[in-house]
Amino acid sequence: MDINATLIISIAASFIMLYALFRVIRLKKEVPGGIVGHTWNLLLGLVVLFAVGYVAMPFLGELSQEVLRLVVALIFLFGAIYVVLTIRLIHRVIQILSD
Amino acid sequence: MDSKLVFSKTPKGEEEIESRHYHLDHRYRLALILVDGHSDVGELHDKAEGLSELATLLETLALQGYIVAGASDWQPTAESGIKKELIDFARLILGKDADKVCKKLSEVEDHHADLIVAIAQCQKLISLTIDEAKGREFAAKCTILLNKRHT
Repeated sequence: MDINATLIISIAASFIMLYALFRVIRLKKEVPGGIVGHTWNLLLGLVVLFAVGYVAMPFLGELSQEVLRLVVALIFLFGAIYVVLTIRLIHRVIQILSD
Repeated sequence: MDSKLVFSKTPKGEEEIESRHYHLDHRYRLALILVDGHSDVGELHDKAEGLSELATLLETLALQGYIVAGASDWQPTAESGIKKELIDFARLILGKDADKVCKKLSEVEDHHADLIVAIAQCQKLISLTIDEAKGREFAAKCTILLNKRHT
């Protein structure tokens, strides 16, 4: 994959993540608390982190390979946490709706 | 009540503010004073800290012709009996977050079985989006009230 393709994908990913940030902040006002509200705060924090990481990614070329790998590994870690939180939230919502 | 609604005083409302001609209860008077023709219900809730039943007060003021909803087809409704008590519970327990629950309760048929279902749905809504403990409290109080009325 050449540099241009990487840059285009990174920019597209950044825009999508910023859109996700917009949606997650907007929905937060609808969910002041409760089970969804508490998890939403965590998801909001993670989306902010991802948005910053994604937007900064095209500018991280100057960093050493070692630091770059660490950044990517951290994004993978927080991505996994995000997935677990989302699955747990969906599970809890299904439980409550099935009661 | 839609939190985006904007109320303004009618001539009767202005008259009451100036002369106290209709001897409004102080809570209704406070709600009437807050109505300024440009703040929406959400903003009025913020201004009226401690006046948790603001939506009920506004609805009553509208019913009695002191205020009117601007640029909207909203009309005040006179809820009565058990539904009104359930809505009052919701406002008391949930405060400014009660709008969705009140709307759900006001739309349900006034039958015991329908109200039981609506309360269970409201409890789920409250637990998911507001507070689990408040959801349980709301359901418990409403169930006791419904059972009293039903027997």
